[in-house]
Amino acid sequence: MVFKNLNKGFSMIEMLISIVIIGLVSGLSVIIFSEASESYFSGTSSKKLMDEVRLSFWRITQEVRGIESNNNLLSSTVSKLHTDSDQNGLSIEFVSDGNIVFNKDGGANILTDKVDPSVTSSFSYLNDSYSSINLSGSLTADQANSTSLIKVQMQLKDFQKMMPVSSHIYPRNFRYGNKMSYHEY
Amino acid sequence: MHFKLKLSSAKGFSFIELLLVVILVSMAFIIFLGALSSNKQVNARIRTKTAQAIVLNDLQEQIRSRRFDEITSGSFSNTLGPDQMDGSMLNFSGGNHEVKVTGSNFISGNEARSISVWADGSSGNVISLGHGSNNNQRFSILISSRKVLIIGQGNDWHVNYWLIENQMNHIVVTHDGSTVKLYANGVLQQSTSKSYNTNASMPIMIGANCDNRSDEWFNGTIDDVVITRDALTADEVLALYNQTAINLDNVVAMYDFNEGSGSVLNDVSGNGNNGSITGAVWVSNNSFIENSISDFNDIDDFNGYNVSEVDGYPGLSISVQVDYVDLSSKFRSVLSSSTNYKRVILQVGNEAGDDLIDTLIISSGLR
Repeated sequence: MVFKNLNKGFSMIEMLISIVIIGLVSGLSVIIFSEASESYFSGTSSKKLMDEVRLSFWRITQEVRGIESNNNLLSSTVSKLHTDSDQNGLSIEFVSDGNIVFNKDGGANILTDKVDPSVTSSFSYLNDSYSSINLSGSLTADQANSTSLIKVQMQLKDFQKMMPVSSHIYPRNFRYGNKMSYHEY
Repeated sequence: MHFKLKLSSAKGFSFIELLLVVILVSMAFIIFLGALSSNKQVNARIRTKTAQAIVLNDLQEQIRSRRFDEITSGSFSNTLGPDQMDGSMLNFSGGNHEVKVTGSNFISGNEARSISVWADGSSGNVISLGHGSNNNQRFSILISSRKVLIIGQGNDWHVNYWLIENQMNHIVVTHDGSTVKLYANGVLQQSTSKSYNTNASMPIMIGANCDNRSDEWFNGTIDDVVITRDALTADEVLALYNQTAINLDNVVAMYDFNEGSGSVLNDVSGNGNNGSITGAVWVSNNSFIENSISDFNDIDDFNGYNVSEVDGYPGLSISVQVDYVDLSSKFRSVLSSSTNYKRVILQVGNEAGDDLIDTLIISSGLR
């Protein structure tokens, strides 16, 4: 009877190959995990930011489009837009901590907290000639009455993702601009 | 008896099995990388579409804020695109080039007056009233090294304003009997106290000194002259600058320089103060008066509006096309003359992907 000793250890070659394979698999796993997590967080952040941009922009646009009268804009500033005839009524405000808030009757609701505070967010007001109105603090009654267009500028940010938003908004109830051309001269 | 004791049936992978595993793992890895890449592309696409939607909205709002047509009474304008200046103007090249308007009842003494003119040049009299030698009997707009001077002959005013080079400048001088003001391109530049004794029987001279002088000829181009016997208000000056419809009172003479040929400069005010042209030549004027989007006052001005790189949104571009369409063709047929409907096709281009295109049909509505 021949007994073969089967109880032997790994050879050096086997060990080396095993270590290399384990190393490769581990490295690959780290790369895959890293890429997957980055992609997940990046994608989530990007989607969240785009949702915030669309929601915020849409809400502001809807409110500005619905302004009933030029007079409602009285006392509006570069950071606060009054949309209601009652000064305690609805106003949209860029707050320095990165929030856009809707103020109404003394209360404040946050529309988004993703505004990039490192970039100036503002409302600007264009007159009948579509030129920017120079504000000395806030819109006077005459300036409010001569406003034809409103421009909103802001940048939203979520982690490293940023999206600038710059658009004019035309309040639908405002009269058409009365600037004429030389054809009528 | 010979026993071969096999204590374990476990054996290593064969080469084929190993190869198969490696291939499968590689494929899985490639698929994974593809999924990651795809995910990034989708996110980038969502971002770009959002940016395109913002730019498109911006443009739509600006277009909607404009009037349907720049003409509010009578037929609509049949011109698509930004408006240009009138078709012609006069070019003066110095010596003996002038327009003379003879008469005997022009601006007199210290009467209120205004002169509005478009000009581009470096030296010489743009407009001269009165007598060029008698003390205080002259009233001229003189350009000296592009600086504007209001000459009263011994009662001069050197205004700290210089004509902008290579463009037509709108200059208006008003005098209400005590204060003389200079407006340039619609904006009040300076004012001062003056009293004049202008000679009313001397000809009105355009591009030259008073008729009794043979010097200080203008070197440049002149267009759209209006002379009134009152001081124009700031709003009237702005309206003239913007080429806006306006009814002026107390007009002495008005020249639109639209003749384009001939030796007579017609007074379009109806007062019959036509001018006689000597030396000056007619040149065409194709410069735009609606140079930027803030100048656009009606929807068709946006026709041909193209932006190759939208500010703040790299890779995005804009192009706009405006056409006349009508209801009967369901807004599909493009017509050559104006209708009650304008079709605006807006395109926000994306150099890395699909363009975003939208069409607005805008009606004249209530006029």
